[in-house]
Amino acid sequence: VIPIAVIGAGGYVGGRVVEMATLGAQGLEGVRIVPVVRRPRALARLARLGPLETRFGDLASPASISDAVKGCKVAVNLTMGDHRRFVADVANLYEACRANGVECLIHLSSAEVYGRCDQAGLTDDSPWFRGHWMGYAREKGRAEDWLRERSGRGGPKIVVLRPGLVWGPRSGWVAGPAQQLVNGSAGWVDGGKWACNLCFVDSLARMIAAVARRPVPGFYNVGDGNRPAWRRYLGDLSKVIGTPPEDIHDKPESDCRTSWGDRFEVVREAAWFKSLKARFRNQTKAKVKRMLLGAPKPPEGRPAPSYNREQWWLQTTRYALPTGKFRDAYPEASVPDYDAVFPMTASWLQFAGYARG
Amino acid sequence: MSLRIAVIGCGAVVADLHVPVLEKLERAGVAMVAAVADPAQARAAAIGRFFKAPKLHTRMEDLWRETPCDLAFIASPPGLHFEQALAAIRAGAHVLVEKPMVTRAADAAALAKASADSGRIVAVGQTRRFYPNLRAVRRRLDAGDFGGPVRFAFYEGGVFDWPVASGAVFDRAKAGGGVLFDKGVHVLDVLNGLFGGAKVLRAWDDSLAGGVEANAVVELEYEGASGTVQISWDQPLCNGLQITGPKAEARIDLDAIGRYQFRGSDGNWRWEPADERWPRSLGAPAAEFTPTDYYECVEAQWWTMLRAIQGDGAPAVDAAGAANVIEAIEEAYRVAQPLNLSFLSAAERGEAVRRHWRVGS
Repeated sequence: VIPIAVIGAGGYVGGRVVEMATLGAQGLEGVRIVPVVRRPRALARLARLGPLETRFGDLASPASISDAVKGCKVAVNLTMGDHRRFVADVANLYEACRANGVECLIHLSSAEVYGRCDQAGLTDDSPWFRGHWMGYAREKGRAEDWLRERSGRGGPKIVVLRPGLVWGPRSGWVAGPAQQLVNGSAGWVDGGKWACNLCFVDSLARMIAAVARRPVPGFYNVGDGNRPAWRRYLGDLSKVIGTPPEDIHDKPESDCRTSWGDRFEVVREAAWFKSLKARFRNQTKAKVKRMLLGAPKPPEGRPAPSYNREQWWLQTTRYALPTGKFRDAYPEASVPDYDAVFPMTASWLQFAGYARG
Repeated sequence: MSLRIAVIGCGAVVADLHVPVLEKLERAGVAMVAAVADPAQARAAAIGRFFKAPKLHTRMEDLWRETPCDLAFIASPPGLHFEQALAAIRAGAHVLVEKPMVTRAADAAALAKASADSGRIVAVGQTRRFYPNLRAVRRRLDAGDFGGPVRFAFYEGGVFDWPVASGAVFDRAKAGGGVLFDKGVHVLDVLNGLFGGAKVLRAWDDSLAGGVEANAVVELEYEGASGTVQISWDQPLCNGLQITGPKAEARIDLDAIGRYQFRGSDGNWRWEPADERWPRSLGAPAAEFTPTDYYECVEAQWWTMLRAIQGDGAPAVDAAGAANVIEAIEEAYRVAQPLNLSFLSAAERGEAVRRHWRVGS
């Protein structure tokens, strides 16, 4: 049995890995999960599962993360947090693994390092898109560079997995569009014809377990066996929810613009803004926000579409990311197609109240 | 003379929600924070610095001996509420206690009795009672706009993000349970505010042995109403309360407290503004306001409490009202069955049932 330290076990992917291992899900055999969380609130996703070997560890604190990975053969980094810390965090984890004899470090990066995948010939080892507007994607890319420089240098084996949009029951990539479909504000770009790079959460958990059992160092794009276009994905969600497809807004890519809200996001991410914001009470912040946005008014007529920059960016992803390298390296990890796993998501939409018909 | 308040427990809820109102009450000269108590001196000091002249305490027994107060505001961990509320009543103080009032139905009944016997008010911080949209819908129910009986469906889910200092809230022995004791207290109180006292018909949750539930579904019956609530602290749900009667329907978004959707006999959904008003002063005539966010609902709760102490009106939720919610939660735990997590694999569902915390009990 391989002990795996799952760092970020209170997050969406981490929580599912722990749940699958605890409930004896197929594909998670032969591993023992040691959940690692940063703070008590992250225990919420794990609390129902009964006594676990949970440890507290913070990637920003070398000593705490070193203690957290002790005795494990594999460490998996599933943390999100502040993207400005991605490189420093991965460096701390790498050193903790080296100091404690952890044999393999699995790092979850993101397909977003390739932006909209607008070159047809991208491979798993193509350079990442350095001009990306998203700080998150750039820092994921820089963390990859840091790890690539250390690959094969005598430390732990390094495996980097790059999923696209991690979806499935409870995912924000399902709940978000579902809520928009319920509200009538869902929209697609260019009729939803571009690629939706999905990676089903259970498949990702099984890929992680497969890598832990037999690490083959390298950088891998990962995703579902086949991936739909956005039209198909949102269309399938809308069928389950009961929203007629004609109620989904459409917009040509040429009409997509960076809004003031999107621009403000850049300010919100700035260190000076966060520091300034921290000086004010939540009540004051709520008042200022209300003042800036004006008093809420009941909406009238058809709800407006809610496109933000991230949405239209993702919806104009040109190509499905190639995932053949992982399939070749891990033939034992059979990765199901989108169609095979969609019913589980449909079932969750019923469970969570989005499909009330 | 202004009312003397003792703040007991100095966690995040006090700093974020209550300090701004208490400061305002002090400035208005209607109340003063005379004592601040927390076992951690630093936390007591951090809250105490906002007020004019509070005495800081780290031991509850010292508080009531050394600093007489008219009102105890209790915001300590739920497992301590019962003893602290009784001590306050014994010292002659009224009590405003954060939710959940207590963690056991027997304690809830005992506290209600102590309140009645002593003539001291025990009010519970169920802030949602001050949401204008809920009050507006309650008026419509009272007016018979929905016809009867009505059905309801109430979903409230999201990933837990309260900045707790420890894992006590995820420990059944310390917190009484899981999400049902955390969010469920609010949700059941909202329904009690609309329909009266609840009767639990059936309940399901997802806790394995040794854990606490992160998801729960409860089937409830009221006088003239029935339906289900579903709550979660590990996943989003399609949140909101839908009420359906023979004559009308309403959809209430608990994040947009100033409006609700209504559909009457014409069959068309429309937005209805909710401008219900609450007092914002003592004496008569009272200045009034319509809360526009959660913070202002907390303020409405404080003014209502102070007015009740002066004999003008009653608190929104008293000990007897809160006791019904605690009893319902206890009953839901007693009858809990494994929740069908239909979106998991068959193997996982089977294991979840086999290891459910009520199996074999």
